[in-house]
Amino acid sequence: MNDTIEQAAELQMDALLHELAGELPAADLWQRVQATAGARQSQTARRRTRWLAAAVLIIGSVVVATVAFLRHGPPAARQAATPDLQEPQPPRDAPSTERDQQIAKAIRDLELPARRDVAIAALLKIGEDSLPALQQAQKTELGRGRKEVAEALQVAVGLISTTARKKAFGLPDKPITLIADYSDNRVVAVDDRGKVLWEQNEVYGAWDAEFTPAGTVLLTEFSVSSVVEVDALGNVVWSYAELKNPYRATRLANGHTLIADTFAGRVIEVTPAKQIVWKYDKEIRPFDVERLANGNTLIADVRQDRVIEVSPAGEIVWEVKQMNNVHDAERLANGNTLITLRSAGKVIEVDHDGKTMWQLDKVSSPSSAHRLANGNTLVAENGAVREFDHDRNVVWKKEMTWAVQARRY
Amino acid sequence: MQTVAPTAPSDPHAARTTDPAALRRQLHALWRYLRMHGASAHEADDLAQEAFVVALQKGADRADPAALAVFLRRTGRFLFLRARAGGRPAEQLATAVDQLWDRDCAHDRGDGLLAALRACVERLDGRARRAVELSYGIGADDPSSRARVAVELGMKENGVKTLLQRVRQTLRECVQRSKT
Repeated sequence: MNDTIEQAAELQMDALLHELAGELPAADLWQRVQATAGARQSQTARRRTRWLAAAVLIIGSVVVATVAFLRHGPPAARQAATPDLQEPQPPRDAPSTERDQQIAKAIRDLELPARRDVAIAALLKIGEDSLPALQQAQKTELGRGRKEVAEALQVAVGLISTTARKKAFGLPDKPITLIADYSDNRVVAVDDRGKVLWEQNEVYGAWDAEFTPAGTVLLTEFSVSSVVEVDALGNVVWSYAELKNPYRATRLANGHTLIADTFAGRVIEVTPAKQIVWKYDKEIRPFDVERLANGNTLIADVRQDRVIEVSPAGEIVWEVKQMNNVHDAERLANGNTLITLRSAGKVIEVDHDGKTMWQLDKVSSPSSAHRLANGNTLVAENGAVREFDHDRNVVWKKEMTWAVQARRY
Repeated sequence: MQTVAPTAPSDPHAARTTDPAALRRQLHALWRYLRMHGASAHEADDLAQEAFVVALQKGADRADPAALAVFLRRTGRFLFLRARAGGRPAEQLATAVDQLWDRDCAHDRGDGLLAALRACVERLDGRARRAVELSYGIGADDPSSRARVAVELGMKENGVKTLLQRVRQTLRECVQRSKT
């Protein structure tokens, strides 16, 4: 017990010495408390209103059904006249052999460095219809181990999927950066000069944001424990709130949503109908998650200071340990993994054996990092989003209050 | 949610009579308490925010200030232990930290302890004072690494570690003496 008291006294002294040196609570902490409390109050009120509306609707429906039954007899007699209640499905394009051939040729051309520009131009012209074939090619390439070709395929997928996404939000066809600012409770899209082109306010505890292939944006609200999908006008088109302070949500190719439900200690895959179809919850506190091309799931687990790759069956197939306060992890096209270590103020790239291949030091409390198509690294940190080249020079910067996620489209 | 120009969030507590400055002091005390449990500054920000929001939701801000302080510490401790998931040893350590808080900080939120520590650091001299100033960044821009401190003081890294342990022990004794 004496040892424990001694340890506690050391902690007390250490904390006070740091405070003496000027370490204080975040300047906007009180504002954050007020905003979050206000948001939760509104959410509770909205929930109450929804329950009331649902109750009125149910009672009303029962009354109408009863009256209709009494007037016209049982519904079986009218079945033939009842219209199909299923939403009409949009007509699918007829398979185009010529177009499929164009896509196949462009993908073959991606293997040849001299033909890559032409191939990407051709794929951009075809648009998102080429994505399934490209993603299939990515999977096949995994087994072949040609890193350069895998990178070219990833660049093509990134370019094609983002062009359509930007168009939906009326954003120009040039590089834009989508930034989640936790302190300001907002998400902004800025151009290369830092000009705000689009913004979404009142995103409470904005911890993650990404454009989806459906032309919407998926927002993760840490403070109010929800993931919401909004369209360009800010209308909520989907949401999921059976969560405890999530840090990350991403839309998968199958239309499901993968969520790091951080304080619930689980990663879940949720269908549009809000059914959980996959989960991993073995002693983790996930700060970041992504589904890999091979079908496995990469998780940044702050509880055990590690990054793990988990198979669909829930087996850990790859792991890198001693990643203290890991906040973000991204599998790169070359097979390495980019890892963000918040307390250490570092972003590191490790190979399959966990060996550090590249490192960025002295970043201010980084929360996420992404490798861009140009080979640079985009880092969201306390006070700014910065882009670093391979030699660690800052080549782009946008000052923010507390950026926690930044993606380039 | 709206897609409009930024506006200041509405104050849901405007009708309440509690002094906002007093609430801010409570928030700072909670942050300090969490730091003493071993939370990093950012972690203490996040946990203090969460605990305070829970308190506001439950109307604890309208309670007696002492009761609010106890509620906040209990909630903060719960959230901290939940985040660490460290089992029984972590709980024992947390209990020890609470005992020290009750002994040294509960009556004035630790302000007196901090003032006493400041005076004790100023009484240090020579290498001991320089080691503390460099290691914690007192009076400087940023804290220095142990390797850097070793270079500055012409010592080995292990020597710096031992020196800092001794200095912290001296400071603890100095602070305790100043209370009596």
